[in-house]
Amino acid sequence: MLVRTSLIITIAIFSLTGSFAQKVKPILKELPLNSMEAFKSPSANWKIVGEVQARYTDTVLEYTKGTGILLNDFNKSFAYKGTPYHLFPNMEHGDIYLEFDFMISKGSNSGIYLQSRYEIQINDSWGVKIPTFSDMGGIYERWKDDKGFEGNAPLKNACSAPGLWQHMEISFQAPRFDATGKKTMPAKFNFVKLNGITLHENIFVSGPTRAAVAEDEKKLAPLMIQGDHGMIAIKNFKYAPQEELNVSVSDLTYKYFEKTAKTLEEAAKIKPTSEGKAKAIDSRLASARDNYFLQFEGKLNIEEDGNYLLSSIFTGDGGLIIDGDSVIPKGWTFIGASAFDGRKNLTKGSHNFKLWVNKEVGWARSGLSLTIEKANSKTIALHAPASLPERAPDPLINIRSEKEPTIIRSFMFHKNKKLTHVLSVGDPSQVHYSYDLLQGAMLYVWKGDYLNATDMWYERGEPQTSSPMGATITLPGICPIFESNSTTDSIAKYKYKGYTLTENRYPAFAYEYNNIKVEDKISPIENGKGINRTINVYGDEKNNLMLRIAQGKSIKPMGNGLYSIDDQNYFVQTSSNDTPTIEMHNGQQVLLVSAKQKLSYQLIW
Amino acid sequence: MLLNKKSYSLLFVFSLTAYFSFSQINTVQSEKDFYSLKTIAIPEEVKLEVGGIAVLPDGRIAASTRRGEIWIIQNAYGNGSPHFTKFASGMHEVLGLAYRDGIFYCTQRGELTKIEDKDGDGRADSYTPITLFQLSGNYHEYAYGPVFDKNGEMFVTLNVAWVGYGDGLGKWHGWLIKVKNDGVIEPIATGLRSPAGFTVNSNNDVFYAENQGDWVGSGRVTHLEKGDFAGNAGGLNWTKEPESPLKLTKEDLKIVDNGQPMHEAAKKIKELKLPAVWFPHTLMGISTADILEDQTGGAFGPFTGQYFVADQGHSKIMRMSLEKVKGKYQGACYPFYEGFASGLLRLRWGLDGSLFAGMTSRGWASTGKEDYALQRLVWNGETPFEMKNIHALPDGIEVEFTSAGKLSQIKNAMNYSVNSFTYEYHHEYGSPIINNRERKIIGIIPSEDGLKVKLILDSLIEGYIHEIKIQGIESKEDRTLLHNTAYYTMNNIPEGNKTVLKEEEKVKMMHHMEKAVTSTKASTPTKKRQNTMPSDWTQPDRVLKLGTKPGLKYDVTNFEVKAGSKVRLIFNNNDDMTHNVVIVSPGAADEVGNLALQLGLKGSQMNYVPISTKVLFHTGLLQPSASESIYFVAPSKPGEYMFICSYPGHAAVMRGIIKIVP
Repeated sequence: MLVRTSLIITIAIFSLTGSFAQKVKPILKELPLNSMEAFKSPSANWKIVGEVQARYTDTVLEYTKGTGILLNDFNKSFAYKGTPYHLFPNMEHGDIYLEFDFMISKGSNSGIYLQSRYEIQINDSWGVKIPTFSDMGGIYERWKDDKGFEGNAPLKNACSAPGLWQHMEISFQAPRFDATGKKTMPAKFNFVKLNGITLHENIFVSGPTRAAVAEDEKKLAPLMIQGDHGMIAIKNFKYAPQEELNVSVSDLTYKYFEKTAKTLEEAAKIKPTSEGKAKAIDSRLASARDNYFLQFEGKLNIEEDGNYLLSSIFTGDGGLIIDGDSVIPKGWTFIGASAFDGRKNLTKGSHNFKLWVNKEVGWARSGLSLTIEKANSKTIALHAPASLPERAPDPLINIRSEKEPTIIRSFMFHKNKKLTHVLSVGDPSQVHYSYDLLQGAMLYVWKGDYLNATDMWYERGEPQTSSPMGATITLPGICPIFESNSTTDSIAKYKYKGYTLTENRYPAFAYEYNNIKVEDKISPIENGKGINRTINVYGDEKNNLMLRIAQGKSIKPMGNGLYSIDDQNYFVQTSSNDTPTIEMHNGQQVLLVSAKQKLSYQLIW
Repeated sequence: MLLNKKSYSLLFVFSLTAYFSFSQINTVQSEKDFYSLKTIAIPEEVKLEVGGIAVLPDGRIAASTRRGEIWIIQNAYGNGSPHFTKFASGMHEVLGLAYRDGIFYCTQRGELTKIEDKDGDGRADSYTPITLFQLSGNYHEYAYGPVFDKNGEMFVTLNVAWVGYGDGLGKWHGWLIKVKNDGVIEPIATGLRSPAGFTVNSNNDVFYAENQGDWVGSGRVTHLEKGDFAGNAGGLNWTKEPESPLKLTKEDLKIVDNGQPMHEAAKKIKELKLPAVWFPHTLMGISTADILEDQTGGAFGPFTGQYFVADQGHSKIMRMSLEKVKGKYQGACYPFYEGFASGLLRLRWGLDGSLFAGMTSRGWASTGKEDYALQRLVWNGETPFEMKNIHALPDGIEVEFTSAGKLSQIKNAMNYSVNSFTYEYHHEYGSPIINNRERKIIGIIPSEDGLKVKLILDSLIEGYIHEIKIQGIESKEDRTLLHNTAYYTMNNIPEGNKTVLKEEEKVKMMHHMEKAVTSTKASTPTKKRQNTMPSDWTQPDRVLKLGTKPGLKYDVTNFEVKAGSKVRLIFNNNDDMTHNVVIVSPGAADEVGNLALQLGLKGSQMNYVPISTKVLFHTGLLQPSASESIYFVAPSKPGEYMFICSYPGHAAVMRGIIKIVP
């Protein structure tokens, strides 16, 4: 029982600090959106539709008949009329992970209420510089005596333009109650991410937020999607309820060999340097720093049948045996490198286990961990907290762009490849991009904070990469010159010739291609909502040359020179002077225009 | 001979005592009495991790940084405040900078860049690649330069990548290349591993400094000519390119990859270029960086025509003299000046003949503790008494002093010792000192004016480094030698007749050798290094566990131990460098550290533990990944006893305290 008590404390600590990330991907259930059956008596404003689209200027989402997308067909007649227009899935939840794609129209507003009580705000905050709790992704404020309080602004504004699909991920921990029903721990957002960017991490909510369905708090309650404020479309809604894991260790003993044994076989024959009962799996039972063998034996007490993942970190050779089965086979690693994982189906009851390590690695630190998890449960540690040494984390080196455009050259990963001649430009308007100098190709655009240079400027900077700090749009990273007969996207004859800085300190890039000279200028749109690109081509051969504006799996014309790329991932706005065409090329759609005249277009997201 | 070797250190302690007593007589004794080190104050927000320095003809200084900026500094020579202006930014780790006709040239990792300020607002607005460098994306692919030659062509060196060994993954990495103004690359020489420092001398010859590593037993400076292979295999990946001036392959190198001395390997591999001067690892520095020829015409002291070589890890400058023997450069290195603030990478002459020193230690610890610094070394006009130059003779060496020495002392054979040694050549990282032997001095021929002395030896060993130590010679002004050791690399022995010694020039007997025979054995292990538990102990009262942290640190710096208790100290060297633990009497850390530094060639055999009553207990010298336990009874007298790593260059910073309490 003693062991059990200390374990629960351990769980509480870890759920706060999140020391051990879950490795087992949640088994996600999908909310079926082929009908409204998944929802409790939905009001008529909620519909299942086929396709949804809008330009970033549209206040209404257009839709087609079909299935797969949930739509709130909002109109002002029921604005602010409350609960009857909200939507409640049938399932009730406590601790939960959920993710979904959503699209809103210009100026729209909605919200996701965990347990119908704790709201993550959805609001068109496109272009907002400093978001508040009522902007996209905020934890909405609470309300008492006609006054708002608490509320937590998102760390960043990661909101995309209206008419684009955005992606939300939420991990929520329900409030805890004792046997008398008294709340012992408030509800908590473990994390909230929008478009891949963390907006909140480990934030408690002291009670229901404004416009919750009720003021009481519960272990289980349904989700609620706000319907009386504005249009929203939702698809790919997936969730995984999260459970506490009830696993403990008991009857624990240890054997320690200093320089006398190196393998399990030897340890079985030789008298240990020391042995006895152990309170917990703890590397500190080895008194030497090196040249020792340490093993733990005991019972692993499982409360629920399931497929479990066990993970161990150690220095040297090590392994884990459960019921005679080598769950983590003998392997060599060290503290700081990756852990070893093993899986086993375990039934309710006690299982014999043996965990061992042979440390013969003088330069690496001593330590031993054992964690266990299963799908949709939290990872718990079965070792003493001090059994693993602390490692000082690398401090963040965050490059800001405050007064003038800030140029940084670095290596950068793009589509899993490390590019070596990358230039990023940060703008004081907080609209930034990265660019491959070798191909004159845009790699990423993003808004918000500029660049993380820790992996380049901390100590030796071994990866020597920088990375965007905001929600990125990943662009194809290919040359603007289009060669119709080319089977690769890399244009070998496109030669980088440097850049000059314009009056506003934006780079104007120079290239040569055969006898043609190219000037490529990129700068933020004045309102900070996107990026302008202007390409000027000089030389007689330009009349036969085609320039690539965009490339992707889908390019959809939206009218007036606006195109949505890759299933409404971002917009391209071409100028009225150009008449681009869409062609198929190597299995992708390409938006092309003649190089005869100056090309100018905008990326909007 | 074996006994002689061991006794040598004892002799040395004796001479050292003499040295210290002289220093009390003479007031002028330290490097700082001849050269002043001035610090240029860097504004708080500027991370001046210096990669390159350019001296502008109008009195300004430009420094390029690892964070990709170029700063221009006004009033860097003055006593008042300097003024920093950001000229350029956004580049990728700028480790070389040059200024020519109003235009800056620099290397970034991925290109050689020309930078201009076309609108005249004092800020760069045009960045033009002269040529691009292919990269694999490895952090160790550094680019250095450009350095202009007399014809206005640019030289650039490119590091090999580090993938557990050095490899030239990107084209021309591991090479010295020449870049013409139109960007065309002419590959010159390969075998370069980490060529952070290189220079073109007044004769238009290129020299580069190398760091210890794979295929490199110790730091060294090599003269590079077209088609040379300087030793590291990584760059040979590119000898199959049509422009390559040599065809040597990694495969060809296998026959010499066995640890033989490099000059033996060079007899089988004709492209293999021997270094002009070896800089023995830890005895001189640990990571040679920039090289600069003294073209100040005397403004920087008495060493015109010689070279200054920076050392990043030891934060110091060494001196190098060169001569040509059988048509090839060879010469000697000497200590010069230590105590710079950070890892010394870049050297450039100021307009007044002072020396600007640019520093960064990020990622590579240095004895100078600052993360980065810019300093300036100025000669104060007084000439130190030094070994100014060393020349090879057909049967010995000639030492030239900066000023006349006392003839009676110059004639005394007791005041000299000469050792020869070399390093292993192989793909492994570094090398121990091998074949270390004392050379017998059979004749001493001073010049009448006391400025020179010829030391005639029983033999010279071709290809070997010759260590020359001089103790007990004073100048006519009663100055002792500021530095007493030099290392001459004897790639070639000059042709000529052997010296016929006059009777008074013959050395009758090497007295210190006689003493050697009677001296006690150098001992391991001793009671100061007890590796097994004494039989009369049942168990220690205390177990102290000690490890390391990166950057020359122990992981624990404070222990408290009861006086007289039985202690087991476990030292686990989990660093990537060699360390020991030496527990010393209260207040003796500096003294023991200095004694260890003076052990010279014998240091490694003695675990860098000097023979001193101030040394109480110690471990051996532990390679990375090794550990050792020592057992001792804690001193009975309470106090703060320090423990240090006495490995050269570590003692000043790698320390901790054992507090003995009643």
